[in-house]
Amino acid sequence: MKLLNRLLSFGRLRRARRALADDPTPRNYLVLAQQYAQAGRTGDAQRACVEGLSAFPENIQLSRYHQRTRRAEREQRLAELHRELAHAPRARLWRELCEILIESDELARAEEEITRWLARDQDPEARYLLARVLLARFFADRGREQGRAALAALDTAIEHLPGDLRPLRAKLDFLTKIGAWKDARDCAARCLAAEPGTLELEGRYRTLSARAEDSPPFERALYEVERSGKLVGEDGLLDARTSAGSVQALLRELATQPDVQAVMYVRGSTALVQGPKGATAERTARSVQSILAGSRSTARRLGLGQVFQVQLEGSFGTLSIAPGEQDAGAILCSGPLGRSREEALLSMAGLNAATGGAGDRS
Amino acid sequence: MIALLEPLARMPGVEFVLLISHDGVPIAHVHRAADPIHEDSLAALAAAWLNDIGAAVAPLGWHAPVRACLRAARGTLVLRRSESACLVVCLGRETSPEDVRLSMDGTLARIERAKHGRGQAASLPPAPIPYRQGSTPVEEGLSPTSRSGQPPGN
Repeated sequence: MKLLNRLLSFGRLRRARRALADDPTPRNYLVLAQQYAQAGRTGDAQRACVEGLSAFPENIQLSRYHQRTRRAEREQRLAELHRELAHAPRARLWRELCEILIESDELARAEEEITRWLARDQDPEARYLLARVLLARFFADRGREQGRAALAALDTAIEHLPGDLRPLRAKLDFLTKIGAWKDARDCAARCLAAEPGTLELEGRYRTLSARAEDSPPFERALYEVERSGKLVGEDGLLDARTSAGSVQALLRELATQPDVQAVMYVRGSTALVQGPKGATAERTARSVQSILAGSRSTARRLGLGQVFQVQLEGSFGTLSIAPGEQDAGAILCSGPLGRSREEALLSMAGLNAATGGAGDRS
Repeated sequence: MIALLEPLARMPGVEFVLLISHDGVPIAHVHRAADPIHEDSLAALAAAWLNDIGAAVAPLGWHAPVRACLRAARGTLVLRRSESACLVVCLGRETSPEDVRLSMDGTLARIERAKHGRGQAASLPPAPIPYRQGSTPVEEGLSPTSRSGQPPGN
């Protein structure tokens, strides 16, 4: 079946390549990547996306497809690793599996795998990976309990990996991010003892020493992070526009669909709205921001962690909001949301896009 | 009421099922989760969230939503609102809100029917002449007028 599929896709691939050579547009790059993916060549599909993105870095569809192919390849590799681990479990495979899971933010699955690994052999590497999982959970939730758990796991990893600088550096980053300067300075000193003469570490040690005078204790620093929901230096990050492109194209594309009433991209107090105009656009954006704030607060109080999606249905239709770290995408349609629109919406969240383009703003 | 919630709570991925009033008072609950969940706080938070949403969409001239889902890192909260109550379901990480859509609608419809049935039974005055136990069954195809002695068709 696989061979037949490859044979059948050969002609289509050739046509897609020729079309791209004649007219190198984002659409043709996308078609070629799709043809590769259909033929089961996810690696080639990724390369086509990367090439397309290097030529058209602003293109949202290409970057979305690139993410999807990466996800597909990752799932494929995870399945292979699970198969290999079932036959011959060994540390290198566990490590790769857990690292893929941590990088793809599947922390619960990663923790399960690490627990199984630790139960099998008390590998110190597993303890370090467990500390990374707990750290990632703290950075997502910013709760005191998660912070304490992360610090305890880091201390255990440092104890079991005495010559390894990775857990020490992770602890240094953690303490710096929560603003426990005194503890961070002590940790930097330990890092320097393990790796003397490192210029970057010496610089950090000097900065931390200067701040250690009026440093809050660890518990107080954790409490502040839990209360404000912000890590040290995140206010500055809010202004940094790290987007590869604007979301305007995606908003316009979604707004042209027949049953879509409004599409929004919200970041800070700015909203880009496609669909409604004037005061209605303003009111809609304000409502979305209000729903988002309430939902985030409810999720925090219920211990559900980071919000991925809020969906409301009623006589008005379906309003779906996908929040990112600092931004959110929202779509209002008269019928059901549908798979493709949901994916587009989820890809909009977390783009951290510059909101300085044309469009209705409120 | 718990018997009506039980089938929904038995579905895979469903951790907690709670029926609350619109002002956040728990009416009945069934839970399958290993960790105990405080139904009072869950009811209060869920009702407060739904009321907040209602207030947020009111300036747009919209009615309060009938269904609300909150998908988060460690689970999903699904709320389904009816005239008299609100059904709250907590789902595990791997379960999609779409998996319980039909069951939630069915459960809430059954609850509403049960409530209306009870309400009607309570509000109906007692019949002036009680029915006889051995009364003859009503014949099919005959209209009520024909039963009262009038010939059919007149």
